[in-house]
Amino acid sequence: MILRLASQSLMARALTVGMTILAIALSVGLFLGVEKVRTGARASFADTISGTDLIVGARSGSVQLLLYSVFRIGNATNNVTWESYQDIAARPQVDWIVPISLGDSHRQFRVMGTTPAFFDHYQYRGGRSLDIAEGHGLDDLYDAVIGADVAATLGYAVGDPIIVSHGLASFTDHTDQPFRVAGIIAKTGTPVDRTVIVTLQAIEAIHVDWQNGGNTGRSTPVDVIRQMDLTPTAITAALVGVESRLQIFGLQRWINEYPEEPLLAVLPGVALQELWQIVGIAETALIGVSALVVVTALIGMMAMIFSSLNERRREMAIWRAMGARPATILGLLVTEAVLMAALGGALGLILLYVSLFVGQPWIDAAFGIWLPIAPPTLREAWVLGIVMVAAAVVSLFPAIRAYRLSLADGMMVRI
Amino acid sequence: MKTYGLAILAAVAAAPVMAQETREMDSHVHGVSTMTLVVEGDRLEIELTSPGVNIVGFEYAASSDADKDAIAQALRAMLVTENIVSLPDAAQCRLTDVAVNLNADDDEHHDDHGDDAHNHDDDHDNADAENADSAEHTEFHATYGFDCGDPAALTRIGLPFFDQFPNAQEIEAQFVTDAGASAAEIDRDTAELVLNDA
Repeated sequence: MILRLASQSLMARALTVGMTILAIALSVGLFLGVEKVRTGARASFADTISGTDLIVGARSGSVQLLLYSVFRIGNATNNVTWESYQDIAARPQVDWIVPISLGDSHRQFRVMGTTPAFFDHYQYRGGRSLDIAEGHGLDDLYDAVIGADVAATLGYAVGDPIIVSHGLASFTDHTDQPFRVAGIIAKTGTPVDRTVIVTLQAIEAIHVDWQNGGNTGRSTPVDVIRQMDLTPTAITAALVGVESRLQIFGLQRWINEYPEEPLLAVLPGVALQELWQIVGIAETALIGVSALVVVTALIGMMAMIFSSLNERRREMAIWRAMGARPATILGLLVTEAVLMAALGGALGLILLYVSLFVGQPWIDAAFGIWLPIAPPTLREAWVLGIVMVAAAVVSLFPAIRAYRLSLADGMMVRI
Repeated sequence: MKTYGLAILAAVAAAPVMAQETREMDSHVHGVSTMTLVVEGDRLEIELTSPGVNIVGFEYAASSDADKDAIAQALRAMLVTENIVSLPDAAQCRLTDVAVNLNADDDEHHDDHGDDAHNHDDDHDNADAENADSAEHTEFHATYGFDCGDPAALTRIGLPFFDQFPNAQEIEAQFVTDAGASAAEIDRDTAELVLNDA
């Protein structure tokens, strides 16, 4: 009865009620969206590397090392010499070790030098290995294996030539030594999608004629380069797997105390945890702000109900005359508010999913964060429930006022 | 005379070694202990490092009998696993080995120095002097090894360590389990490490 009255009453004031519902919808959508992005970003980061026990690089911060070695965010402060790399590789605890060399680029994508073992040991999303969808792995010196996004964005197919640029965002190209697309990796949802992978020797090879960061002008023929010793002098970082988990911390300590060169070994999971501790402050602020937006929308609704009270005084009085008790009036107003909040919440949820569908590919391409579209969880149900309860509480203020007025006014409304 | 000559030779030979010597010190935060914990198969290994000030309230080399007693008492307390960590009964963990010592890291460094310049007294003295310097920041170091009947039940690890040593304020823990590697900061009020939250 009250529910029908309330919905009819809302329908009668469709415009103002609609605006209020829209405000609530936007705020709820924003609040849930922030949470989606937050958890999505965390999951996306956590899924990027698994199965790697330690990441070794020059001594800097553990977060920085993780970011540049795995996420290609930022740059290394220093390189790791090949001697140190071999010392680490020779440790009995080391099961496998994969070197990584960064620093060159192809268009907007980073070029990473590594060994074919990278494809055996790099794992993402809880132990999945890289899958070469087309072509084959790194067989030749000038083979390049590209990520799915590289292939899609630049329209490359297996067999196409690739010219690697020197440095990042640079105009000098290694034109004399073109690579060939040997394989394309299936989409992973990790930074590998946006990486051109070549061999470590190839990184050395394209820099044969370069000294102190400049091209010497000479151009050593490719077949001469193929005969050269292309053992690198330094690498950017290395991924390490240990024989037994029990040895991780021992090996980490050994690397961190390695006297010949200041090195840093981090556990990817631990470095991520540190990153979340830093980012957590900003996240809390974001959640706080979006929660305040919801509060603002609810206060807007309260203002709307308050201002409607005056124009509805006669309506209330008629209800009283028809035999409605003051409590009914109160119930009516609260029900209206809860209905508005419920509609707003539902609309907000729809808004969220629509924007997720629309924004997902774009966010993935721009930031490398894959936001999963999952059905609403218990948490979202809680948020909607809390918004409805808050709406009921907020509407109590105008409802109590209406209750009082309807007691005092009777039929004699002096307007 | 001959030995004298040798000593000079050694001193000259040692000089470049001395010049190349790397100087570094680990960070050392009073009140903060570090803990690493690994579970693999049935095996659980816990390692705890704590600045001396957390444990006995001072970090200078113990000279008075009272100080020495305090250190001996602390070492004895740390040998009793129940004083430091409490594991869930359901995990059925059995202590297999425990080792507790003071200043373990510095001792290792000392050995390294010995290897670098053998049969050279001067250098040794130097190393000792250095050791005495760094000994101003003593650290307690404890390792505990367990075999567990049901390692999956290791979800929460209590830390009576905080009750045992009132000066300890915080433990920075790193742990590796089947769920992967992670880290946690544990303070006095929680005094508990929650695993398997991944």
